[in-house]
Amino acid sequence: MNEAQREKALVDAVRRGQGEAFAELVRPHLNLLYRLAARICLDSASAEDAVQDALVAIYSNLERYQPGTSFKAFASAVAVSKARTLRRSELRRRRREEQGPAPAGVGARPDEELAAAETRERIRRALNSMPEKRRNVALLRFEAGLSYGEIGDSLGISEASARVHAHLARNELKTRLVEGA
Amino acid sequence: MSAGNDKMNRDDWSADDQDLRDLFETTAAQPGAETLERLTARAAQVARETPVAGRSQWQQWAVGALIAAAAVLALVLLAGLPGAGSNVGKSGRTAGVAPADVIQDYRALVDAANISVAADESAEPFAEQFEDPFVWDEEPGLLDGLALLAGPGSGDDPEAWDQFYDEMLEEWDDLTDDEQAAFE
Repeated sequence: MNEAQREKALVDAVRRGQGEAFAELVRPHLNLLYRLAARICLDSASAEDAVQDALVAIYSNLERYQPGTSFKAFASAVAVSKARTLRRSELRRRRREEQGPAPAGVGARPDEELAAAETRERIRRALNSMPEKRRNVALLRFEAGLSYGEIGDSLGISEASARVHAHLARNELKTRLVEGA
Repeated sequence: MSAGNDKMNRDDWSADDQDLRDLFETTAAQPGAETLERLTARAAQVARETPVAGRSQWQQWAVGALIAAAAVLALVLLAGLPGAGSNVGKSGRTAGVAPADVIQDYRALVDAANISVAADESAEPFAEQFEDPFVWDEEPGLLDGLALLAGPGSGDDPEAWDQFYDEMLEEWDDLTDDEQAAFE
């Protein structure tokens, strides 16, 4: 049984009410879901919360997943959406509490290599400055490694639109990264 | 495609894409083993405690019927609006006008007036308000003009604008190189 067949069997099992199959279904994707959330969220705790929210949403909306398409793409799109929602509420809360500037971002530790941490932060800022659809496409393309067809399916846009948004995001990221270098 | 079989369609990947993909890989925040354990446990908990969502068949039919009724009502209302036959000033989809027709309208207007919409100051608020979605390769032009001529209008539902962007960008992609050059 290959990976796609295994995934389909697990989806079918979850849909039949075998809830325990859900953990098996999502386990191979948890690392990626966390990475996607961490690109958006303000800290590692928020990224983990976002993935937890995404798991609930994925399970609750599994009926919307189209068998034969990429489950990875489906789950990734949900994670990006949940992370964005959480980030917005976090920013609102911080503004209310006037806690000052946001933390440096997920994974930025004192002992971490400075250049890598700075690059990660520049990417995060560039992504968060993009219009929502462009940012989502960029994350699904460059973080998740999805094809344009998969991105289009998961975001409900055409493949051509996915290409356009990726094109704009690519230029913006390159510009921002060169400027910050 | 799953994480266990992360083979990408390389045909789709340019060198620039791959450079960015590599950069994302090397700067990704990796969850620790404890985080992954907690998330796996959470997935199992979700499956135990969350009711499987999903509407029953009759609920899906009811929602579908409501949507269809709303669509019919919207068409009836639109048909009664003044100027409903014009392509200009409304979203192509909302007005029942193919986006290609909107592009043709725009071409005719620009040809007749011999102007560049990009030089029209009235285009600026649109570009700013809607986060420059109509900018093509950072050069204002065709899509700014389409926003003025055929967009859903200032202050409308962002989803309507998203839909409009998608339609226009798809139309643009469908044009031949010569046709695209004619707008530039």
